[in-house]
Amino acid sequence: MTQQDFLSKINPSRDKMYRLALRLLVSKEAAEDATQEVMMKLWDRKQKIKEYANVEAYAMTVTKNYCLDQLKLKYNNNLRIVHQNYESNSISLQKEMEVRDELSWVERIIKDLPEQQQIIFQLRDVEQYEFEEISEIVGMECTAIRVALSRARKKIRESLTKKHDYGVKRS
Amino acid sequence: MELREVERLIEQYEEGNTSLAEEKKLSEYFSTHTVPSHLEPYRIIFGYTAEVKKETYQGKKPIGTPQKNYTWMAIAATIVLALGLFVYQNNPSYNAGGENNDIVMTAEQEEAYLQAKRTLLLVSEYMNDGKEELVHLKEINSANKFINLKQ
Repeated sequence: MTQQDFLSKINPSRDKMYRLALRLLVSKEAAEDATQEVMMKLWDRKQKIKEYANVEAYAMTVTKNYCLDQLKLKYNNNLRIVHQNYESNSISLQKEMEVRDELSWVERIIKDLPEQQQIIFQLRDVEQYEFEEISEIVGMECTAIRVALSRARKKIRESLTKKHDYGVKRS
Repeated sequence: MELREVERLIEQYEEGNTSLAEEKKLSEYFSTHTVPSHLEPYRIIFGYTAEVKKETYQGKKPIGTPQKNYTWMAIAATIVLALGLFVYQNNPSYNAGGENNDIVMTAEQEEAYLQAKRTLLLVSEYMNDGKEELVHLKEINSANKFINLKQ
C-alpha cells in the first residue's frame, strides 16, 4: 500500500478520530498528538489494514485504546482543564457568549461521566454511528451500549436541568 | 413535527431506543424551533453535539515515505557534483587565479602584520617574566608534604 492509498483510506476518518481523542483527553494539543500517534500506528500496520473491511472502525478502536492508555498512564492528569475553545461565528456576541456558556456546561458534565459512556455518547450523538459500528469499535454488545448511552443521556439532561433551575432560582 | 411527537421521541431517546433518522429529526427540530422550558436541556444537548462535530483536525500531515525522495535527492546531488568537478577541471582560469591570492599583501597590511607580531612577542615576554616568579609556589607543595606527614 502506498502512502497515497493509505491517506485516502484514513483521511475521511481523521476528524472523527481527532474528536474522539478530544473527548477523552484534556486539550486540543493532546488530541492532535494522539491523532498523529494513532496515524503512525496505523501506518505501521498498513499490511493489516488491507485485510480489514471497515478501516474506519479499526481506526476508531485504535484511537480509543490509545487515548485510554494515555489516561491510564496519567500522562495528562497534571493538566485537567476542560477545554472550551469553540469557534461559532455568525451569531451576535451576546448570543455567542450564552452559547459558549451552555456548551461548556455540557462539556463539563460529559467529562464527569465514566469514560466508557463518554466514548459511546461521542460515537452515537456526535458522530452518528449505528449501534453495530459502535459495537465493533468498543467491543461491547449492542444492548449494553444502549444501556450505557441511555445512562449518559439521562445524566447529562439531569445535570443540565439542575443547572438551569439553579440559574432561575438565583435570578 | 408536533410537540407531542417530539416528547415521544425524546422519551425514546433517553432510553437509547431512537434510530439515527429519528435523532436527526430531533436535532433539526431543536435547531429550528424555540422550545418550552422543560425541553430546554435537550436543545442544549443537541446544540452541543452539532457544534462539537464542527471541530476538525488541524495538526500537521503525518507519515512520510522519505526513501523515494532521498533517492532522487541523491541522484540530483551526484549530478551537480559531477558537473561541478567537470566544469572546474576544464576551466583552468579558476586554478590560476587562486594560487597567488593569499600571499599578495599591500605595504600597509604588511606593516600591520609586523606590528601585531611585535606586540604579541612583547606580551609573551612579560608573561614569561611573570611566570618565573611562580616557581616559588613549589615550596608550598614541599611544605605541605611535611604537614601531611604529621597528620
